[in-house]
Amino acid sequence: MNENADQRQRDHIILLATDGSLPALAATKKAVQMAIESGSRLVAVTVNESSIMTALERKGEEVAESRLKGPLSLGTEVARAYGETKGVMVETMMLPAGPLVARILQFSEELDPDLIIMGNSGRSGWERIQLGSVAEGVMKHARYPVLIAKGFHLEEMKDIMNVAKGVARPTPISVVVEAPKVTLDSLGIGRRLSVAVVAMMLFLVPYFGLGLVSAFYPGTMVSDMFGSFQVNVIWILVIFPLGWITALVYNRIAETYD
Amino acid sequence: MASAITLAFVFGLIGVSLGVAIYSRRYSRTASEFYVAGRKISWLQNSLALTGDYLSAASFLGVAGAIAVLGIDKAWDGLGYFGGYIILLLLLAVPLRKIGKYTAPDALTTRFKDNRAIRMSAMVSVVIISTFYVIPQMVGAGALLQLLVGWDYVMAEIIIGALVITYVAVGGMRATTYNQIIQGMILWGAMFLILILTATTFFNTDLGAIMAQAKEMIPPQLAAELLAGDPSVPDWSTLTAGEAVAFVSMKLAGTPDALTPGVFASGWMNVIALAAGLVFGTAGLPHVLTRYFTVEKPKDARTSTMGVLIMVGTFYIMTIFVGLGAMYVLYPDLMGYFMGGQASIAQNMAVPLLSELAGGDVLLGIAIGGAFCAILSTVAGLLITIGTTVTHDFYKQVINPDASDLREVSVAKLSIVASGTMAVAFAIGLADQNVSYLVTLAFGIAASVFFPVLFLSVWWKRYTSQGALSTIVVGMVVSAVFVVARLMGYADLIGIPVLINPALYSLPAAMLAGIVVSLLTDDIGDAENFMVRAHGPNWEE
Repeated sequence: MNENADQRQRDHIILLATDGSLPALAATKKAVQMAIESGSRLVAVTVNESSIMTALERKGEEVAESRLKGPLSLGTEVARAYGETKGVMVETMMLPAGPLVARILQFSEELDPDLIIMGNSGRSGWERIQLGSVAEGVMKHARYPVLIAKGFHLEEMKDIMNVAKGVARPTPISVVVEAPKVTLDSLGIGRRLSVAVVAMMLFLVPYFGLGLVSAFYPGTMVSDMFGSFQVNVIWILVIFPLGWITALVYNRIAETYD
Repeated sequence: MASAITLAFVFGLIGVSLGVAIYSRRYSRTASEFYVAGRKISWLQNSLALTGDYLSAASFLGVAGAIAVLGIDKAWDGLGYFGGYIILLLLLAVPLRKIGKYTAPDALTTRFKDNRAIRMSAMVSVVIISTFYVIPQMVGAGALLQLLVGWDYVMAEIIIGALVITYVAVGGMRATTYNQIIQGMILWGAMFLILILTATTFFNTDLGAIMAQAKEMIPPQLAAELLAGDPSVPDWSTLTAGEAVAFVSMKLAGTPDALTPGVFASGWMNVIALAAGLVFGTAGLPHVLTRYFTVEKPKDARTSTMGVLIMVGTFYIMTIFVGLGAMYVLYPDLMGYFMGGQASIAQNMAVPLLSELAGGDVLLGIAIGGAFCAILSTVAGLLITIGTTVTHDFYKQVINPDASDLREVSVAKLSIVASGTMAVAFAIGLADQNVSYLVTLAFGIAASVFFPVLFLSVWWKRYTSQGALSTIVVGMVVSAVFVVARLMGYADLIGIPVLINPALYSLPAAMLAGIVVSLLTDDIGDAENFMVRAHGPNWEE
């Protein structure tokens, strides 16, 4: 890279937000093209989208998105690979989980780009009501020019589609196979179980104890302890905080397992 | 029949609930402020969501209501539901999240690969437990609406069924996080308001006064049984609370008061059986377990449970005071219901009636609306649990292993609609029946099937597939036999006393069967990998 190019790169930054869907690939294509034409620095981001959903919800959403999904690849990786084929260095970044629009906006403030490029899924009807439009949200709130790539010819997308097919999205399963390098013995399951059971007794002994003492010594249970509060009432009221303490203590111990 | 203001609150809350169900997912994507669903408060969100998910109408109306008619002995329900989460936290929450599967049967077959017998028996257990749990919810909901809004029972059931199915089909699957959060706050807040207003209006803002009063009262359900057929019983509607309490106490001097233990569960075996069934049953309820498959990170499973314990614990502490307060304030009403043969109304109505007296139409509206939303989401959660397991563990495994995701989702939705329709039909058919034994059975089976089988799978390397199957079958059979025996009114079964909850026998039997059979067989499945995954460092990050 010559000095002249460096000079221009500092001047001009394009932010590409991509999720690897077909419209996002169209935007990627456009972004790479514009980066070449203007000699800009190109930064591609994707947001790690996660929210509390049941498996069925997640699957339902995946089905709803499948129409838009390209070859199920990670958007930033496609941008990087596609950029390589065109001789452009694409910087990539995975933004932490959170609302998609907010994450993109937040990152744009840090990056201070000259242009934000993203695709528009063109969802309509019920899906639109449920999922909304990220492109629209960014356009509405961004303090930078936003270019929305809308509509594309599959014919023209062939090159980037081929790149995308080569960049398969990593599935959790493939991570599982690699990850467990630890052995079961090294985890000390027996010791952990003992710790959990001992902690559990902190709660279960007074819990079942309430039942046993009530059954065998009902007279003790109904005598007053504090004002009009009887022994059994106090006992019940104490079990709850004991449960909280049990949970807190255990939580401290279990933190070391993470 | 409720007033216009009350109805406005009820429908307002249902509207908010449905609206949030529809828009929450969209909001979580397109909000322009990042802190909305950001990491910092996610444990709090998680725990509120879990709390809202867990606090059903049974907790909101049932626990305080039961204390109002039977006294302090019914605090066991709250203690057990609370304690169940401690068991979950210590033994199951994180491992289950780390295994990260779709359903409880799925988690088991991750260890015992392709074991169809385990998958099927576990699937059947999920369906049975969830069905037994859903029917009383529906029956209770129908009765509530009938009484408060004045709808015909059948009509009420159909409306609830239609709402639940819409809610599931429309609002994503389970009206995700935000709805549960709002609901958790509404139910907790309503109980708090009821407690504060009851204490200030009737007890001089002194919780000790509630206790002092409780000691002077004979629990209405007990009193009604003892006074049945007594000609000197007055017309309860003409008496004040104080007069009614004084009358009963005079007639039944020496009878246990509202703070005497043993009114509901007498003898140590009954108490321990009840306590064990509640605490281990909660830890084994499939729809509770399912929630742990949804939290974002394994660590969240733990921190969220901590939050749940705080929310749920304080909630049940409040129900004790609210229940005992309701007993006094509503004493003549409750006596009237019992002696007029309307026992189930007496129990379910205590919280709404008290809220009306303490906070007028507005609080009544919040109480009914909150209860109604709780019913909607609990029933929805149960139907989804049924639908997911039927689709994932049966349809996808047995009928059509090549089913696409699209197909799987449609089959799941169909089975949710089908099981929802069946639940409505059952609820209509079982109107006016006492169906609370179904809940006992649900807890009993959950305590004796899922708790032991998951516990042993996650923690014991020597556990074998044959052992797991024995646990499931023995737990199921023993708990079913003892519940049926109790229903038929047997005092004992081949010399073994029949208790109010089967767990005292069925849980140890299921554990023992699993351990003994495991020691005699040797198919430990994929124990090494499974347990490393369940307990090892988080492989997702």
